Amino acid sequence: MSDTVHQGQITHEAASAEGLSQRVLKDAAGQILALIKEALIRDGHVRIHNFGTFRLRWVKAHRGVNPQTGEPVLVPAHPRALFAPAKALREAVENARDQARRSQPLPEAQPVPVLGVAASRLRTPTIVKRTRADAPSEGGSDLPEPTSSQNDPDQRSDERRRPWMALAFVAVIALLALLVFWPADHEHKQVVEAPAPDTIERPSTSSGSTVQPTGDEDDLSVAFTQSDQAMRQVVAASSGAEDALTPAAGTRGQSETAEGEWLLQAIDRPVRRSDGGSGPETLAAHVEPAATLPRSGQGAQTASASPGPAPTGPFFAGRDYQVVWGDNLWNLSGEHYVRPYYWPHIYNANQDRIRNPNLIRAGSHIRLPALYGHPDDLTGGDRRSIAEGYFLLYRLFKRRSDPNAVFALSAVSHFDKAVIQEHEAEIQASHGLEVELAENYGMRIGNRIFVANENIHFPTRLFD
Amino acid sequence: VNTTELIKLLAERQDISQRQAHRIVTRFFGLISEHLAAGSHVVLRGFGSFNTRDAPPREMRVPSTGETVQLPAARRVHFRASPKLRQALEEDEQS
Repeated sequence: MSDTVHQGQITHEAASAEGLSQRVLKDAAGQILALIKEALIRDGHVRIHNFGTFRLRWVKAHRGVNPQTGEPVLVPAHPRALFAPAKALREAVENARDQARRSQPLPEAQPVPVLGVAASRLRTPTIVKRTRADAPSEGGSDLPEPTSSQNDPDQRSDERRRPWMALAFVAVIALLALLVFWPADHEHKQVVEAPAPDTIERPSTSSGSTVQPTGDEDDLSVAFTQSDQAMRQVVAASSGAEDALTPAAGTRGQSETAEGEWLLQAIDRPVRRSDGGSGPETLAAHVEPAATLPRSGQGAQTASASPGPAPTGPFFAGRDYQVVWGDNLWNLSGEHYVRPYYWPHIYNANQDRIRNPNLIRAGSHIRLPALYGHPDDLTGGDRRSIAEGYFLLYRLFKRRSDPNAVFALSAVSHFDKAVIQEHEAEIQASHGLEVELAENYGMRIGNRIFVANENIHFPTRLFD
Repeated sequence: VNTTELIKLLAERQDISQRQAHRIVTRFFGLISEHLAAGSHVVLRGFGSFNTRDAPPREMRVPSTGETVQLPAARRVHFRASPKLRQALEEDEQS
């Protein structure tokens, strides 16, 4: 019996067992699988009695590594089909294994004294035997004796072949090792060299500002262990400021962008917040004991606003989501767009549903909009949506006369300056406050000083 | 969705009696179970494959008492969704 059983063999066996035509069973099998698939999409789980349960689980967006090149990639959030065997199936499999094991010791004990070869040499024949011993039990009958007698001649021939096999094995290993380690080393060098030209080019591309992860991000972000929400905001703001500075700075470009890079890296890390303030990222979901609803089962809702995907396909294609206890926009953004500080993207897409981004209710439905560009290389549309989200936040802060409005605004300009220009009149109306705030609340973190962006008429001069 | 609903839907779509659909469904999954018990790798095209994996014995800690317990070796059933199924799930969830 072959080790792999295909669908055809199963339908064939089922047809003969049920006395039905093969066509009927073939169609039925296809239909069963199609039904499971549909139900999985609709309900998120399918339970087959005495067989098992299929479930759908969402995997968060995360950092991964291309197994072939070792190059780091961002894996978008995606659904995954899981299967949990039912008790009956688990037990059937376990029992079959126990039976196979019980029937094994007999044949295994024989060859050792007869041949008197080293234990390491015996490893191969025992494996060969195990598969043989398994095979008859597949047919339902347990016959360990015949297999053991069949094994002896087989094993002798194996003995003769073994030195050659060992040699060949060593050669193959050596070859593999060469193949694996040589190019890997080579590529590593390339990776190390690559960022240099990239960072030099950056200043000339001005507002494009794509941020690429570098190797030293981990060391640098250690400095940010005690960051709180204010710092993260400031950092977000300063990256905008830096962006505007670099074209003017010219030759200073490289060091500037390098700093900007680690700043963005640092805020991209999910940091525990230390205060109970009303920062944009402390958007704890409202706790409602009665409304702890299951995460699954939201796939069926139809999307209202999802424009056609880009030719290469979006990084994340958007999804309807039911808020569960403990969710907040900052984390949802991190889970789906990798960068948690893209959370205004969700806020902007759900203006009618989220009144206060600090508070999303468990059980409510929101739309997680598509992210068309790679998180490190957003498209214009993405940037605009995020900027608009930050502008909504600016308004919210304004209404509450929260000094953080400054930083919301500089985040707007970081993502899309056009949004600032559109709302220039509105911003100008309350300009006095911004100036005052910037003058009175200049931010200082360690030895670094951050201020808002000059493009939005804030004082750009740094102060101590 | 559970087996009963699956059988009902199957009977409707294939235009067969529910009794027959029931027999087909149980036979189909029963056969897969049998092959899995026999140690085979079962491949359902466009859907996924089932396989068994041997888990070595391992030590585990009881979270409530903190004592260490020896877990025996086990054979587990493992399911791997086919690329087709994965794609179908992804497309549908995101539309």
